Amino acid sequence: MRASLLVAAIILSATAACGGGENRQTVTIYTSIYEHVIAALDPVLAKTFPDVTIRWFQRGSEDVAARLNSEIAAGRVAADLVMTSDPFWYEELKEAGHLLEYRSPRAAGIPPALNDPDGTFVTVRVPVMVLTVNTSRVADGAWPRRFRELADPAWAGRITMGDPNRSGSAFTAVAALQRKYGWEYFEGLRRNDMLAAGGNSAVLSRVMTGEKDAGIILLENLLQARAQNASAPIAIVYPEDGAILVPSPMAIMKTTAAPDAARRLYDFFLSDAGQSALVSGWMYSPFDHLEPPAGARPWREVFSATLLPWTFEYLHETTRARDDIKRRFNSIVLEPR
Amino acid sequence: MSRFVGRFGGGVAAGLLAVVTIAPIILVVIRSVATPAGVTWRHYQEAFSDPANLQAIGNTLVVSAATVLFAAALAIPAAWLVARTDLPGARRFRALLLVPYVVPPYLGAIAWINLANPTVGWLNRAAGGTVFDIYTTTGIVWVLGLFYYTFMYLTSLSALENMDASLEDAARVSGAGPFTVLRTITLPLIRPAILAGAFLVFAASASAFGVPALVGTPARVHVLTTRIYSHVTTGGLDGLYTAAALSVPLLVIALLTWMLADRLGRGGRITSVTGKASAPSRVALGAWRWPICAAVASLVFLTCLLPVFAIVLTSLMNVVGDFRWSNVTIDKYRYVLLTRPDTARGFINSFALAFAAATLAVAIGTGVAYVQGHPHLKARRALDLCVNLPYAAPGTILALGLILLWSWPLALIDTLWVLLLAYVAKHLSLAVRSITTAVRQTDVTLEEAARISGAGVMMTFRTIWIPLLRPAILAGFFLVFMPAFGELTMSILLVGPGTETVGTVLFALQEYADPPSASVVAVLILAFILAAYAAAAALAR
Amino acid sequence: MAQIILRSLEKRFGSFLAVSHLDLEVHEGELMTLLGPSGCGKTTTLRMIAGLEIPTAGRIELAGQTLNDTAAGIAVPPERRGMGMVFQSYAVWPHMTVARNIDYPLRIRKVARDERERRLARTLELVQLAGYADRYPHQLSGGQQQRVALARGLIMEPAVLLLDEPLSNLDAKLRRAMRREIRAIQRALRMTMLYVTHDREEAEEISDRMAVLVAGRLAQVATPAEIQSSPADDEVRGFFAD
Repeated sequence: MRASLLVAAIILSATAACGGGENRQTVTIYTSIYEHVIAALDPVLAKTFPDVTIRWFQRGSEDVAARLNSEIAAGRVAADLVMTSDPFWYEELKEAGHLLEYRSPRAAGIPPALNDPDGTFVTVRVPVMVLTVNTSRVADGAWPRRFRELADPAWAGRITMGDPNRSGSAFTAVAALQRKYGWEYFEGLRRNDMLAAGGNSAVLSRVMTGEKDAGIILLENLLQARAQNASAPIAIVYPEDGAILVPSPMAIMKTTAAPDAARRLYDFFLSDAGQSALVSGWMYSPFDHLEPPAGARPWREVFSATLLPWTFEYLHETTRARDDIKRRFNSIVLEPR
Repeated sequence: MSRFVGRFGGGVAAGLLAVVTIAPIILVVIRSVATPAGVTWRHYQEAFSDPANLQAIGNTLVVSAATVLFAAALAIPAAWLVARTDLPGARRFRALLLVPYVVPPYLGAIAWINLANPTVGWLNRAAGGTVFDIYTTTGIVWVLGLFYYTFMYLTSLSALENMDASLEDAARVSGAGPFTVLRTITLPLIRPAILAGAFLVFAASASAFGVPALVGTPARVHVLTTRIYSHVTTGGLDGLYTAAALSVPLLVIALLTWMLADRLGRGGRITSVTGKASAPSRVALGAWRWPICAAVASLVFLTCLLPVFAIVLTSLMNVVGDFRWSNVTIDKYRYVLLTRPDTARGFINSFALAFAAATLAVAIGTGVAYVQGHPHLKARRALDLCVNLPYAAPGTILALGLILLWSWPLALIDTLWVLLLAYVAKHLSLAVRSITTAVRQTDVTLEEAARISGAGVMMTFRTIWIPLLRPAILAGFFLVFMPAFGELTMSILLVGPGTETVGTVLFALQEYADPPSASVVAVLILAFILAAYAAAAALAR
Repeated sequence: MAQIILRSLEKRFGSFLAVSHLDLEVHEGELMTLLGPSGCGKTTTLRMIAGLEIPTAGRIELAGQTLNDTAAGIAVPPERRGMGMVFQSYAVWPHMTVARNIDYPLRIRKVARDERERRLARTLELVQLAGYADRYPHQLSGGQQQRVALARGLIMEPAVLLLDEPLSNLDAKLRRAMRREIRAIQRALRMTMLYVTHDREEAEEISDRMAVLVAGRLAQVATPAEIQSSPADDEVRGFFAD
């Protein structure tokens, strides 16, 4: 008897976890934003949107994309709002007609190159890919100064980055680097036995522990690590060949059951309150009037000297080549020989 | 009329059980050739033209075979030493050597990644160079073997302990020395049990996901389970069907080896249970006693202490690898438990799911065991299949089947329900076995006496069977609860927004998001599972 | 008057014929033994009467009521036959006290508490277990467990008590004492008992009449004296020879 009561209780709790209330609206956000940033956002969101239940699904951008793509293929999309870091995937979603058009009044101040002219997605934050190096293993003078140098034999066995099949920022970096330096650059990285696995936090921990000496990584991971532990043996290197911008979009799915709530959340993330929450998560804002994240170089300094200029042409071409780039990268860097 | 109702009810129950347990696996096989778009071999062509997949089949066989050899090298001497020699502390070793049986192997993978990372592994630092490299095929075998040797250890141990000791005594009296007895009598007699254990290890290694995913991926070593996983997670709808095609060889490997293990296990049981005439005379190890004791102790050190030490220490280090006192901190615990909302959610989900799955499994298991204990009731064969197929089939394939089965028209996918179904189907066998053994050992006249006394079937079930089977039901509950709590292989394919489990939280941290924090979750899972193990042991007493 | 009537009773297990074409009448208030070598079908016959086995052919009646009729598809389940039974293995429930074991049939029938206690006390007295009510079976000797099993069969004061080799697990001395007790109780309660045994001496001492079964077939039904003086055939004579 007691057992059956317990089962009933479990079933009820499971239903509650799966279902949610009746009058409240539920918005499911698929994102690659770090859990600690989500945790900081949650109380603010709860206060701003008392009538909306927000469900987060957090993974690497490419994992999120793979999941949402198969949901679309199965005709059953759970996401209402998407906020990940691979801009090319949004272009793809837009071309296939999966995104809801919404021209938020808040998006006005965003530079045009970072704002979809058709109003289906907008850059909500701008993470930046840079270099890092383990300061206790590599002397000052020997630090890598450019992305390019990582293909030099001096770095054999010593370098790492994220997996572009999992992480949107790693993919964006691969796309930019191959456009700038060609696939020979990646042949060099393979010769150096570069370890490309996991996300940026995994890269950080590999460099911090000295498993690898240097890596290609998101600036925000380095800023956060330095803020937590000023003596951590890692340095931020803004590459002389230019940082890689990862303009990270936000979009509403056309299939959403709660378009109003989704639009309100969309506006919130573009508002000063939403933007400063993201900036305090160590990401740049697409609005140039906002302060840079604590400890980072000013907006203009970084954005005026990037590896590649961010243009619509670049966006479109890379979107078309997205699967090819991954395949080439996998066969050059990841697959056994 | 009531008989008709009884039959009808029984049929419905059996049908539901079949939908939960065998339907997903059959659907995987069907979908590998017959998709909603039509019948096609395209997915087989796709799956088997990819050299990475062919390589994965080879790797699966190599890893599994090597794990069997490594496990045998550990398990057989260990079982003989604790069961048949005057090894000091044999009884304590007997229990300690079983601990890896209840711990999820992926925890071992995380521990050994800390210990034997080629550049910064602690063992390599201590050795002053790269001596050990966990990111190799050998690394996968090492970690799997240190966990799965317990299967062989268990089958060998029970054969040794059930063997009639007079068989060995007779050889001694005939003039054979202790090692001649071991070679000519003991080992041949327990060979079926050893082989059964070997096949279990093979099947488990071929089905393993967590260890090859964590250890093999950085080494660019893929096995079937990790390839299926990547087809499912990144291949969209077509990827599901390619994964189904790739599942078929894995299913064949797992089921064949499992059937061999089962058949040998049965045979072994019959020959070994000849009654216990006397306590076995123990072989005196003489001068070797203490060196061998040290060797067994070092095995316990390798399987239990060193990995636990590694993950506990990692979880307490601010900068991993910095061994100064000033570097010790509980910040990571604070971060993982308080800042990341997914950790607490994972623990709540896993606890609720494991509890519900264990409760359901013992409820269904009691019914199944009751039917098995009544030879005149029909459908025992079919029930056997329902219970054992999902247990023998790799979890990856069961999960893929659940995805195919529950996406449409009833979309349970991404809910806790589908995880619950997965856990119940996978672990039902453990509950059924525990309870069936107890039913077989219970005199059927105890039931008949109640019937004669005026109690109907249900009344007899409630007043006689349930109380008599309570210890076995409790044991079955824990046998399901512990693996369900730490489950990873199926969960990783089945979790959706808000339905994270501890296994998937840990996997995501280790493999993608934040390896240093993974050690914290690993410590918490380990502590929880060992506490449950201790509770089960205390309740069983 | 006949209490139990068996008509053309037959039981097959697959191709094995365990009981063949059995006709038997047990009178009210008599103690009849079913006697025969092991494997002769006596236990199977008893279990069919109890309802634990379903006959493959034939009829069973109790006091004019049909319990089994294979032609009409009647098979009353054991719990609705109102009989008592004592098993060879005792079948004493290890998770219940002596009192709970014995008054189980009363609890099943929701007999009121004071009535239950009265009858429990009387039955315990009858089988000489007064004072053992709160013990558990593992605290009892084999003979005492046997008495618990007997008491459980008696407490309902059933019209018929079935005993399946009830004494075969006891030592010789205890066995003789117990069968005298069973006989005394049977006389005192004027209860119909059907008693399965393979022990000729036991059967001769205890029975009003004996039914001798050989290889699933009823060879002879008569008083012990009649069988001794005029055995029906060579097989019966053979069984009584040594």
